Formats: sequence, C-alpha cells, structure tokens
Amino acid sequence: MPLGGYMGKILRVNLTEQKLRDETLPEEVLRKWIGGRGLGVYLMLKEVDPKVDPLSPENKIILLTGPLTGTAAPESGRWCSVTKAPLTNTIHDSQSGGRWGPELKFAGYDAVIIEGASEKPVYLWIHDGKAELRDARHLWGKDTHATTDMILEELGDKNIKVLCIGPAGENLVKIACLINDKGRAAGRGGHGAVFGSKKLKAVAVRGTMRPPIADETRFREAVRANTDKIKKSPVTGESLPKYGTAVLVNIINKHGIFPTRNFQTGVHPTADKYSGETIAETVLTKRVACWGCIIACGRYTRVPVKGPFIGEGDGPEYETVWAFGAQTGTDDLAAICKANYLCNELGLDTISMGHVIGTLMELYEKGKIPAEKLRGLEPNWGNGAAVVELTWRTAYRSGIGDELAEGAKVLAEKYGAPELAIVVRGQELPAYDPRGVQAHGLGYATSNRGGCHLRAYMIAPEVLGVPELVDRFTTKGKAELVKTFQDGFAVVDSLVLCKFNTFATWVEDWVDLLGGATGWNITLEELNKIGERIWNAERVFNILSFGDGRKYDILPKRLLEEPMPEGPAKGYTVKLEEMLDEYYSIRGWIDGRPTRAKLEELDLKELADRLEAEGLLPS
Amino acid sequence: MSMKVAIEFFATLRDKFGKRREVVIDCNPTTLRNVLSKVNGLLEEISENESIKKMYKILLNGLNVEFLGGLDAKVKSGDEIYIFPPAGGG
Repeated sequence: MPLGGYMGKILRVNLTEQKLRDETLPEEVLRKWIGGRGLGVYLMLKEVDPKVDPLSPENKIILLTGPLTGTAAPESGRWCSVTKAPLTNTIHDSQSGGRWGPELKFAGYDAVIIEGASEKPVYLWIHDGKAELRDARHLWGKDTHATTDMILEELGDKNIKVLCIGPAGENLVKIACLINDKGRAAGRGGHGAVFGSKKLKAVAVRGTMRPPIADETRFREAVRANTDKIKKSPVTGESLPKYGTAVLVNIINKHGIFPTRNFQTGVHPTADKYSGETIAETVLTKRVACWGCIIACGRYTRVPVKGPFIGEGDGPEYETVWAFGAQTGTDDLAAICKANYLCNELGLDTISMGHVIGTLMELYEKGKIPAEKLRGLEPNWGNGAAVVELTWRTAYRSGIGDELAEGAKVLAEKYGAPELAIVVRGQELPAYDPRGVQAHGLGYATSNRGGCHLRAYMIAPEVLGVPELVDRFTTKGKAELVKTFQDGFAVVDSLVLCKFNTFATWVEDWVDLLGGATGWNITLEELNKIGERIWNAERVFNILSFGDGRKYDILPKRLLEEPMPEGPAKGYTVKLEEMLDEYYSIRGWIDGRPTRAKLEELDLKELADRLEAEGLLPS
Repeated sequence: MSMKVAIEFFATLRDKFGKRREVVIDCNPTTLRNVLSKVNGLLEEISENESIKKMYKILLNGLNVEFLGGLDAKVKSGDEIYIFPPAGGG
C-alpha cells in the first residue's frame, strides 16, 4: 500500500540565495527516524557541521511535523523545531502545540529546512503546495501579535497560521523563542535567535490537503483505543482540563521540591496564590485546546485588576508560574501573568526568562551587581514589578537586560559567581528541585539538550505515580527508568504527539497508530529501537560539537553538595554518582559516549566512523 | 490527650469537599485511617478494599504515605495531611 501519514514533500529554503525547492526523502530514512525530533537529528547530522556557530548562516533550523500530525490520532496537533541551539551548543529540538503544525501538513509539506541567511528581513508563505519568500521589513521590530495580524491582513485570509519571532529573536537574545498562534512556544534553547540571525521573521501556512491514511481499519481502531484510555485517565480526563498544568504548583510545593529563590530551597509558603486552583478561580477566562486535542489543558487568562499588570493572553503554564513565581520569590499572580503575556508578545522562553531573573536576584542579594548597571532598579526577591521590567529589558537587550539575554551561565560567570548558575549544558533548570526526586536529577544531568524536565519526565513515577509510584529518595533502579523514559519520549517527539498522551498511554499503544497511518508492519521492538537510536544520535552530535561526555553529565554544586535546607526533602542532595555509572552501563556507553558496538547495533555505523575519525570514540 | 491534625484538599477535592483545609481533633496518636474517617465521606472517597485508591496521592508531612504504611500510617499531633487527586503537567 502507498505510504500514508506523510505528505511526501520537504521544503528546502535557502535564504542566502533566496531560493526554494521541493524535495522528497527515501522511505527507509522515514522508517529509521520517523519524523519530528528524530528526522531533525538525522538531517542536522547529515547536513550541518556540529561545530558550526549556531548564529551563523551555516547553521540550519528545521521545522518538522510527524506522520501522525494532523490526523485523528489523539493530541496530534503539534510540531517541532530542530537546530543547533545558541544557548547550549547542543542539538536541540523544541516542541510546540497550537494549530501551526497540522496546517503545515495541510499545506502539503512534512518539514521545512531553513538554511543560509537573508540580507533583508523576509517571511515565508506556504500554501497548498506552493511557497514563496516575502518582504518582512515592515514586520521587523513588531511583536508576535502585530506580526501575526499584519500577515493575516496582507495575505487576506484569517485562517492562516503564523509562526514568528518577536523583538527578542531579532535581537539575538539567547533565550528567545518561536511563537506560533500568538501564544504557543517552541520555547527553549534560543531557536528565536537562530531565526533572527537568518533575518527570517515568520512562517505563514495555510492548506486544504489532508494526510493520507494507509490502513484505515488498523488506524481507526488504534485511535479508538488510545482515545478511550485518554478519556478514562483521571489526569487527562479531569485534572488537566479543569486546572491546566499549574495544578502541579501545590503538589510539587508540598513535596518540598518547588525550587525557590534560585534553588536555595524547595518550599515557597505562599505558592497557592498562583496555583492552578487559584488561576481557575480568578484570572481564567477560557480553556484552550491545540488542534484536534480532547484534553484542552491550555489556559487563556485576563488580569482584570486595574494597575500595572493588567493584560490578557495564553497561559500561564506550570513552568511559567514557577519561573516568575517561586524562582523569583514573587507570589503576585497578576505580575506573573503580565510577565507571561510579555514573553508571548516579545518572543521569550518563560522558563529561562524567569529562571535568569532569579539568578540576577541572587547575584544582587549577594552584592555582585554594580548599582550603575541597574538604572535604579532593585531586583529584590518577590519584586513583581522588577520581574516584569526585566522581562521587557531582556527582549530589547536594554540595560542589564543585555546580560540576562545571554542566559544564567554567562550572567553568573560575568559577575564572578558561576556556582549560582543552576544549569546543565548551559540551559536553565526548570520547576523541580532534583534533591527530592533522584531519577529526575539523573534525567537533568544526562539531557542531550541541556537542563530539561521533558527529556525524561521522572516526576511521573517519582511523584505522580504514573505508571507506578517509586520512592523518590532512593537511587536503586533509577538508571533503567530514566533510559526508558528518555527513549520513549524521543518516540513521542518524533511521531509527533503531545507528551500528555503518556499519562494514559505508552509506546505499545502508539505502534498501531503509526502502523495504521503509514501502512508499515512496524513492531514495538522496532519503535523502541528508534527511540534509543534518536537518543544516541543526539549524543553523537553533541560529542562532535563540543566533546560531550561524562564531564557534562553533571549538576550544579548546589544540588550535589548543599543539602536541601527545609521541608519534606530536607537533608537530601542528588546522589548522581550512584546512578551515573549504572546509566552508562545500561546505555552501552563509556564515560557518557556511545561505543561502536552500541552505535552499530542501532544501525549508526557511520556515526561511529565519524567519532573515530576525530578520536572521540570510546574504546 | 487532645491531638490536632490538619487535612488539606487540592484541585477537584476542594469542590468535592467544599473546603481547602480541615482540622481534626482527636484523642491519642492514631492512624491515618482513623483521622480520615473523621471527615464525612472522605475515607470512602479515597479508599477501596482497605487500601488507598491508586489515583490519590496522600502526603503525611510531605512524604507519600505509601511508604509509611498506607492507611495504617502513624499520625500524631501537629501532622499535616495533604490529599491530591490525579494530576499531571510538565
């Protein structure tokens, strides 16, 4: 049967030459890497020198969907961006929801490879199998909402979906993101800055095609089975729809692992003031769903109280209320919401933005910031107005914002306190203190894209009891668990499905979704192997980029050596060494690098050869 | 000897039980089962066949009671019990 799921076309955009070209990929490549994150790492390894400067024309940025995007598969309304990230110098994929992803497929394309750099600002317009570059000089400088509105007006169709950068990306802010549909983000790593360096302002898509399904019967049955599980799961069926992701605020805080004031402690006593429950009672105006989603965990909120924080927009999510809340010592929901809306409009990653403000606040508390840098601002813990000001200053690289724009690691190093940067591979850690969740700590340390809670969301087993509750304070068996999550999430990010499927389903449930859509006789074993392959390929990219390995599989000293000072996790540090060797052994790695045997087992012989040629293959 | 234990409700449980916090006063150190039985309908809601339903997370001073003996966990004066319905996020 003919291949289903995919639209069968990739768009290659060369911004230097201002030339566009349609391409196809051989089926064996798709079978090996699927789409989304996996296909992205394959293309990046094939076409980009891993040592490239992320903000140079030689870097590429690839926008990808997967074979399930835009189909009836549950929660398939997502897409991702893959590039070498300016914040981390790693291979980096950033996943986003909304409506843009399915529309790219409806417009006839599975992915868009963007290379080179344009001399003048341009935007890309893709519609029903055709594509063109258009002048964006009138859009340059505009925020994401204005950009979107102006493009819709110019092209005369309000059903167009727009992905764009705001001033932050234009100003090459290393924590700038891509915003689609005005309020969804491919948030982390600085993908917005890559767009900015290429003078690419936006990608607008519109289409009327639909992805073909190869085996309707197999697919429909798999959709029914998956949908059933999602509806029945109390997490996806009740809790997420009602309270959104910020329902986690009280849970994580009461477990004593809610990072407060730059991970100095794990408890923020007034956190309920910005919890999912409080949001639902005060600022929530409606729930929002990504394309085709039955969960609808998204929030749209409005701060009605007259004052400096009045505003409205998508969000805030759990990570966002943490970043602008506990991380900065703030508990004013209005200020937190305002900072969130600014990030949507200016194109900033909320996690990194709030996190870096916390870094600044600790540096300031310890007397490290010269007064003249602050132009009168007093970034004290809990100062909501300062949080909002620092957010827009960062987008415009204004005053101290120019330094926040480089990320927490560079900021802390600049002011002589590198130990205050709570980062992994240069990316700021998100909303869980690993001293009270050991496996999550291992996940942070070994993440290929830097400090990230979603490479391996170990909060699921260690706190939420999904699939089963495990003891969060012990290290036994955690290495195996982390590998399972890392490989499984690589599959989710390549199909492309929303990770919230994983509260109800797992890899074995998706085999028939993929097999039904594509027509492949794919097995669970093969799908698991693809996940492992993607994880290993990403690690190889990083090794070639900067010599990744054991030296980088670490956590900041604070988390390894300073015991949690209070709360239920009091006295704990992350026992990383106890888990790391076992992790390498299970992965078939030596000191954080895959061996030839492991790479060849995953049909990655050419990657083993590349490592060997540079003396980077462990023996 | 009087004993005070606080129970806090979160998310959908706040609607179900119409409150955020309840203080239970009892005599003697006791078990979790006994404390929960003092709130109308609570023990029935969170347990099934003598054990806690998988979907509920109950913390005793921030530690999941599954590791403390479940419904037989020892509770003393000043303890805080937090009850969470199923939740997820990122």
